[in-house]
Amino acid sequence: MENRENEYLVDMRHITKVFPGVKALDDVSFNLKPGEVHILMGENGAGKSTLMKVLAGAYAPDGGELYISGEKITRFDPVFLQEKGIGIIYQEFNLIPYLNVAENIFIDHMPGKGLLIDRKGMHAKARELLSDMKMKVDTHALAGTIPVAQQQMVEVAKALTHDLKVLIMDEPTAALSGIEIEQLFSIIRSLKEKGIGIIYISHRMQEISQIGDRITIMRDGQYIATHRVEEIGTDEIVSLMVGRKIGNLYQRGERQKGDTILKIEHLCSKKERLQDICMEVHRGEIVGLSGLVGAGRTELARAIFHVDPYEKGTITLKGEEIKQKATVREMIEKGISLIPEDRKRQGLSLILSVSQNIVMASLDSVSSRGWLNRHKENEIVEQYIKELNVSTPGAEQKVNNLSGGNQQKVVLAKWLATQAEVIIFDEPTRGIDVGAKKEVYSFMDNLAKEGKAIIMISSDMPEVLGMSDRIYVMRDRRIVKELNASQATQEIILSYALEGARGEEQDDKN
Amino acid sequence: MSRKLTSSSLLPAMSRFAVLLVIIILGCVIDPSFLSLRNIGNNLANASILVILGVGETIAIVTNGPDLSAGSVMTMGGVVTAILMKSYNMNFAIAILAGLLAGCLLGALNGYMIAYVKIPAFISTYGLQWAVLGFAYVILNGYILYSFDESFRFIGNGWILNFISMATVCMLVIVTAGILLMKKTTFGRKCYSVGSNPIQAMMSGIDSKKVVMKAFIISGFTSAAAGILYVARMNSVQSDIGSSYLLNVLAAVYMGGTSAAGGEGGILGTIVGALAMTMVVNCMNLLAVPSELRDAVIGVLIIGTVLFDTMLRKQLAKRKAV
Amino acid sequence: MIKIKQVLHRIPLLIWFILLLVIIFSTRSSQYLTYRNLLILLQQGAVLLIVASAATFVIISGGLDLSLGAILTLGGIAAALAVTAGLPVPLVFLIGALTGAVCGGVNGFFISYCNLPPFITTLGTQGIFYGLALVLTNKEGIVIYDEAFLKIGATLDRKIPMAFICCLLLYIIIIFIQDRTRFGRYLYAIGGNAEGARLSGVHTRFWKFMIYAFAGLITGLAAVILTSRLEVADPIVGKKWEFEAICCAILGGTSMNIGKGDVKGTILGVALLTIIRSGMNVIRIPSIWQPAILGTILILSIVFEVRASMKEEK
Repeated sequence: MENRENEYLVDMRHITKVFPGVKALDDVSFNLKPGEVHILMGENGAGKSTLMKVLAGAYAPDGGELYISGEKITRFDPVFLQEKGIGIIYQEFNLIPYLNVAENIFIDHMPGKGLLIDRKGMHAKARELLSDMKMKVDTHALAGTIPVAQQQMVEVAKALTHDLKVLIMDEPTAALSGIEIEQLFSIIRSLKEKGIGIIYISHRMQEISQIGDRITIMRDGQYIATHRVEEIGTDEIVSLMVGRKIGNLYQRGERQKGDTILKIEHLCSKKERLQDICMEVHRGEIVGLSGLVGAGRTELARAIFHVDPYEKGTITLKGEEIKQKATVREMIEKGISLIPEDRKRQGLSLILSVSQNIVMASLDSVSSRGWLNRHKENEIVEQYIKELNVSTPGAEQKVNNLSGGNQQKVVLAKWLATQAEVIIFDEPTRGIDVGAKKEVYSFMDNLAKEGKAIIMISSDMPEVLGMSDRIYVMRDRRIVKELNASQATQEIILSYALEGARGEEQDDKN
Repeated sequence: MSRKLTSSSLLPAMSRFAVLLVIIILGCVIDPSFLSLRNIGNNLANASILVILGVGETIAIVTNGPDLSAGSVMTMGGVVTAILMKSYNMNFAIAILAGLLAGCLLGALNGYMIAYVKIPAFISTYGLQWAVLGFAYVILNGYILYSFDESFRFIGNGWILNFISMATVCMLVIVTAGILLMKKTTFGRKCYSVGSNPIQAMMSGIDSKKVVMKAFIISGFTSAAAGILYVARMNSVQSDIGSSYLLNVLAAVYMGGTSAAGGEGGILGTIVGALAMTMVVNCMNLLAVPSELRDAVIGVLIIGTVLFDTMLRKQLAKRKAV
Repeated sequence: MIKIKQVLHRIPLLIWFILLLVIIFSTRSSQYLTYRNLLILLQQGAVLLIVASAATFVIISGGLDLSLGAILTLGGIAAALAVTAGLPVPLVFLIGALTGAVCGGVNGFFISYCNLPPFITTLGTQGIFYGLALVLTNKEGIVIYDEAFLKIGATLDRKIPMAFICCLLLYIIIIFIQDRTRFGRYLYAIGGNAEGARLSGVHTRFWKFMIYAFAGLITGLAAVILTSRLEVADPIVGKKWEFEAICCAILGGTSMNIGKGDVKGTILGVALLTIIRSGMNVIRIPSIWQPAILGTILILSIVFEVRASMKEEK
């Protein structure tokens, strides 16, 4: 047994991590050999990032064991695990905007004598590191001012300044273009040759065979399976990730497509770079809005809801043209709801009660002349708690104490309470468990059946395919394709969503 | 509908009353007449200024951040009212209105800097504090004004019953208004919404700039009211009357369980905090603590309470997580 | 290139404004543009420069220190007591610095290790430090007679502004610390992305603690110089200093909450403030009006500055 332990750079056994209200990791095991790229896959909220944060010492696990090169780790802090050879590049970079590139690379051990930094030496070493990676970055530039791709290279260089054994990369290609991805892959290959193990979190299927050796799939905080990459196909990965046949989860009742309720024509915005968006939504249908992260879907939703400004184009709601300068409140009054993606930051006040949150966007309807009508409020709150099956000890419970799924239901309740007729769902099922997902889907279906119009932004392909009547695909801040649900497949949607990236790649090469 | 107090909100609330109880017991040990009706009445009257200040301060902190100009605005309210009565022989009612108006204007200035220019509250109000103090000094021209109209002084010194003073009545009026505002109106709701999560509030269609503006106007109003009451009680005014109140009122609000992070707490808690603070001062009087040490004691109290609060919340969060 | 333009665009505005004021004041008084008046200005602004540098450090790191004025007071009193006890000058400096560092350390402890909000902590300690100052002095100023000590802050031979020279020296060291040491660089790390820095292996708690301790330390040194210049340690001398220091930092281009700033810019803010203060005498504004006017100008200048930097970010 002793031998087996030493074979692995990293050996995580039965790791459990509990957050208030959620079991983020439930008995997860994972290992990594020297010189391999181990891909970690799973839907959003499956627990990949949490697992990696445990490995990097950002979180201490509540149960289970971690071995690095056979040594049992009992201390969980970033510095200690860094010393043990773990490097991690988070999705949100950890660069310091007003420090320069060299200072960022050597952030925790700037070279020098005593207190003083040897600036020349530091810049020389930084340049050397970057040129080893075949990167041209000005080491004197402030980290906040360089492009995202370079920032990522700086993160890699930063990890390399330590005696690196394991490098964790969390969706490293999310913000990169074709050429930049190639560069990253060649760096990963050279790291492999040095015997460094790489844990690679990604959503992109095509990258698995390009760069991966083994793949581990997680779902809902649990370990599902580990395979060699060449032994497993895309379909199998997807079904392991989803863990269910697509059909039975999604609800699709008899929807009656009605007249056009929302029409957007030639919408352009400077701030969010939206370009010539045209779309229309009918009563009684669910319209999927698909595309990669950064394609502009959330930005479009925010422009429609008048959170962010737009300069050109018209939005027509129920035949009435809406002024560009309309406020969010006016939009709510006119019958639009936007259920935001990030519920903790944008959807809820965690320290307020379920009841307070539910009526937050419809205060006018539970008050007269500014005075709250408690009776009315309670009625509405009780109604939605029942209707959405929110499991809470009481309406006065702080939302903080509810599970993710129930929090999401409170957000839904809040936006249904406004009596909206057009409801925009931005990633409605992110980070909630399967049971709650199913309830959300059936709820959306019911709304459509009632004749409301729904726009659903989602990165979850099966969800888009399973729920939508029509699908708009966005890429590079414009709508590139409108598809009927019957014609759409994952492959077709992806080909439109990605086309831009490929096109650009060719442009760059020319 | 059940409005059960959950353990998480009960424990901090209980700890406040425990503090108050400890102080009362301490007071009784030092001086057995501490709990006499008259002394309670006196304490209430003394607490009235602090409580009135606390009402506005609580609303400001719940909505956005501390109003560190409360002490200076209090001075200004008193000074404006006093000078109009003394130098311009105005009717005291009009003078009071003018004083309150001055408070509202200064509050609006704070609100403008915080909500529209986006200067953090603790910097803009701290700065305004010095400027306002300067102007109060200018208006008084360095003098002390004293001996006001009998009818004006009645507001501060009159007793309706043996233990209910006019000051207490004023306090009750403002406190009731404040509590109704925060608990029963949409404005109050919006304050909690903006204070707890401004992004969420914006997405819910709440105009947080307006809410913050109003919150600081209210804070200016109550500060000025406290200043006017002070002048009526003490029968004199000079340019530093408010300076010792800032620390006291912050201590009262935080001791009352209002969270420095915003969105949590309320006026009821602040009243308990203000009573506790008044009794602390009362105790310091009884113990003859030298005046120069009082700010230090209150400083310790502020840090102590907030520290205690932070640790308590941490413990509760931990317990919940398991 | 754009950045250089921005810098050129920003700093001269303040410098032009300072020049404009100098011109206005010098037309009002023939005495204004003399070496003697310059000496007075330098001596007056010197100590503020150090306190403002302390404020700048704290603000870059995303914090706030409202107790700097109180630390200045307490440091001065500690120094005065040391001088009166007959200690030699270097020891007096040491005691002043130590007093400041301990005060700052108390702030840092509560803010960094107990997670208390900076403004509450430093407002509370402000009360405590002033209380201590009043007790230590029995509410009266301590007048100093020690010749050797008084030389530190005096204007020697009516020519050499010693307080200014001492503070300038200290200021250069502070710039050096900001630019060349790990500590100085971590100011930006903690202000710009503290969580990121922590995950990158920086001991953010320790360094955050150090920032407040250091701010206290240099304020303590400034206190020694101030006491020598004023020849008295007054228990309320520091009132308002923290606000003026914060204003100078913001005027010098330091921003709150984004980890941006530079102690090199702070000197401009100090210059502006000192010139305005002295100018009010030149154009004969009655002394009773001066605090009100200065306060108003400072608030307006912050409003102006914050609006300008917000526009720039857009």
